[in-house]
Amino acid sequence: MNTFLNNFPILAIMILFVGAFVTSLVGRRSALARNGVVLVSMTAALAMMLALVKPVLLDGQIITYWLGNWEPVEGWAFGICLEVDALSLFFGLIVTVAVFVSGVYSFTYMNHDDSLVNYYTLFLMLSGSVLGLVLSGDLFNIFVMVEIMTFTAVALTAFRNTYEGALEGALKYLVVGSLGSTSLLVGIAMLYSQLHTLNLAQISALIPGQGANPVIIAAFAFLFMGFATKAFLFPFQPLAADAHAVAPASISLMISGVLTKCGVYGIIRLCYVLYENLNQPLVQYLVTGFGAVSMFICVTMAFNQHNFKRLLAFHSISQVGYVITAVGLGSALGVSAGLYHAMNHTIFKGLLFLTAGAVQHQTGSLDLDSLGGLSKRMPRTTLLFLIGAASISGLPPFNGFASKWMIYQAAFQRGAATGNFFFLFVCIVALITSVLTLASFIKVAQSVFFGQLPEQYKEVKEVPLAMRIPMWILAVLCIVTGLFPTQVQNYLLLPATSAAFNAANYIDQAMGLGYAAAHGIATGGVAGLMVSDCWNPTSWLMLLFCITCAVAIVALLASPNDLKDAHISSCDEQAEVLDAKYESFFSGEESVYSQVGGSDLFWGFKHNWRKYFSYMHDWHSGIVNDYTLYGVVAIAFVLLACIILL
Amino acid sequence: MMAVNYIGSFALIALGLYCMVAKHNLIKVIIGMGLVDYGTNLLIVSVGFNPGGTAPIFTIAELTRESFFVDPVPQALTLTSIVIGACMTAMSLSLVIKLREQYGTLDTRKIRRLNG
Amino acid sequence: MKSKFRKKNIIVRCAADLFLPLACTFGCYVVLHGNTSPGGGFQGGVLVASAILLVFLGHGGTRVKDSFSSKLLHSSETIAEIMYVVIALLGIFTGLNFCVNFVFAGQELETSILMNDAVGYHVMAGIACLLIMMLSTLEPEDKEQDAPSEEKEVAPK
Repeated sequence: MNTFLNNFPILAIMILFVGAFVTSLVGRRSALARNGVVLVSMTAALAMMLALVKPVLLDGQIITYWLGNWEPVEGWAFGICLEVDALSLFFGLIVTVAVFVSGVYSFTYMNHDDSLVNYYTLFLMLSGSVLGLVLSGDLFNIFVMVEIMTFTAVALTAFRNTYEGALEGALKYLVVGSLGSTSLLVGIAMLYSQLHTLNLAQISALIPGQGANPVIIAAFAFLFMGFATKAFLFPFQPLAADAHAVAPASISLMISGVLTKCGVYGIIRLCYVLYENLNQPLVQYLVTGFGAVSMFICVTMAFNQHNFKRLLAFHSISQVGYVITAVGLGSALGVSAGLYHAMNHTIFKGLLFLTAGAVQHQTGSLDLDSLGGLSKRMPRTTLLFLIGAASISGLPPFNGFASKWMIYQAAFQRGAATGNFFFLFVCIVALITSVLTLASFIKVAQSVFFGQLPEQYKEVKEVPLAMRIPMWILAVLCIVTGLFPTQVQNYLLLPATSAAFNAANYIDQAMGLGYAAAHGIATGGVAGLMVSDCWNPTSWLMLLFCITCAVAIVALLASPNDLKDAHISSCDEQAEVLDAKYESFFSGEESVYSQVGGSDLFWGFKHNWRKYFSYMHDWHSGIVNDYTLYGVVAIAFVLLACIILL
Repeated sequence: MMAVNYIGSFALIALGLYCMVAKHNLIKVIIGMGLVDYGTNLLIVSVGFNPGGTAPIFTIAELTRESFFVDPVPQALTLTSIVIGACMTAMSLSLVIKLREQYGTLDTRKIRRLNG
Repeated sequence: MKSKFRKKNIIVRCAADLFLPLACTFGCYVVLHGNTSPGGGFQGGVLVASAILLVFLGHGGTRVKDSFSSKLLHSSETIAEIMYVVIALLGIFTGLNFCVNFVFAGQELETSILMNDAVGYHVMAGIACLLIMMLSTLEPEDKEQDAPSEEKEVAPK
């Protein structure tokens, strides 16, 4: 099909880049023209992505676009191509929506800063590169886009360079991020040395013919770690925390909502399209294990944080851990659950970062210890924050609930189908993480929005409407995608998932019909998702039953005598009170003595786990050498595991 | 013959990683990043090398089935990667200059206000 | 200090004056022949931009500041970028794909030569901007400390 619609992917990428150039040309003269250019290019990119929804997502077409008409000759693709299938477009939509929201938000949010021309130029280049990454059908282009993305993100992180730690966070991000880029490039070089092509479709077709070639497998390890760096998975999570804490909130939205999605997209593309024959237990353990570890460690790290955005950053990586866990399960339900959670993560995490930005914009502080009681001054922001917090903690009826439900179901189903306890264990870790997320957000809500209002914030005002509109867009999306999971599954997740499982079609569309069959790749695809509806009354009954059981067990475990003793002796013996203070579930002081700050709400839990927390605190040392070391060790570990076991 | 190139490139990468992990001076860390980059570039160029091949410069008319030349694609990749590496060095150095102004030191063990 | 520097380095100044047009010409040659010979926009652009270094060596930092407008270079960088995209987009407007060679299709001359020029222009402006910025960081040191900076120490030898 050679319609004008075919040009939309490249036009959407180019309009963002051209917007960046025009901004830097005209923006110095007038702020209005600058904002106009930014708005027009963002809207145009979003509109073009939306225009592609019908042919690609609903009709299942794949748009292949050869730059300069350099089409494959004799089965060898040497041109650069863009290949847009449902998976790419799914991520393209996430990216453009997030970019639009972030851009609109920054019009007001950034009004205290100067040299905004540079900000918007870098912002649009970041958006363009991310869009180019997800729509590209060429491995080296993906690398170039990753590099542009990293540079612009680093520059934007350091944009408020007078802000304490901004330069430090940016430098750490750059140094350790370069490890991921190098890993990606080495992987590409290895693949090229064996297959002599850079086209994703052709690589995917040629890999099965290579058999157990160790170079190909080493390339998998390098590429996986490259994308894992960009998604800030387990050993790289300190970078995300540092970068988020110091970047402007609109850029935090981009880093958490868009940049990590690139890593997720790369891992899905790598595991399911490029190496679709490599769908072996080890890869599943590897990916799921990485996801589960980052999910748990990051959520516990979030407990110790005193900076609002740094805390959100750890939660962000924790949620990306959910996505990767689900993606690694290797089943259609797992992938669609991962995609659903990826989409929801962008929405609710973006909302939370924007509320943090609103608090920062109005009060000038992000310190959980000094803030408090803002719900009296900023009621609308508080409402928006609560929507986001409920979503991320997986409370119904918000979207986090629906996608987390799918992830539990996928993990459980996978464990039951294979009889493997690993997946059941992962399911339990996911549940615990969700509980800890809720606990952590209760702490944030308590210390920022409720409680006492400090003197210096008596005059704080509600944020302007222009900043609330983007937040409301995300909040409405939170509710809509949570209330209609079936529609989301049918129209968004199912096409994207079947695109991930149908590598043969992807190859055929790029290289000509029959190319996949000639290389022995069978047509795959997903007919339908076996999802049990999360609004099913039976499920709710089960949930109620489980909760009742849990409460009963907890009540039985703590013998009532201890509790009574603690209460009675509290007047006489101070020592026993101190013991009772640190009990897991029944801790707490008499309300007369209770002066616990909002940010220290879970001190009993923290005290019982103090060894773990202090170890993790030392582990996140803040020294760039240490972070590099963790990265190198992780890459070496994955490389060895892949070469020895595959 | 080619093994030398591969060994050399991985040795460069390993040296660079050693620099990044063990050296506490930021400038040395950046030199390490550069070394890793050069190692990667050497690897890519080596991948495209055909012993005895000529330079890949032809017009369409001169190109025949018999022409034997080194693979031009890795060279293009290397060029791009060199440019990216130069950008990375420039960017990190400029960040270091600013960091030096703010923190008054180049020691990575002292530049750790964001931790925990 | 500046005058002292100039008097001492008549050889450097003459050599810089001599090589300045050569560097520019050679850079332009590399850019223009980028599509049929080794080199291309990037290398040629860097060569042309290196002319600034020659001016700096021969005539000092103030002369660089007087001769080149970094504002103009900055906007020409942007213009070059837009030029590249517009040339690439022409392919779409003629009903073909992005980046397609359509102007003199089938002949030796192609749109790729125009793109090459755009890249050369862009790199020239970009690197020149960078160089001016870097050289301007050397300037205040000269004024503050009377001791000659390293580069100037090396030059007389």
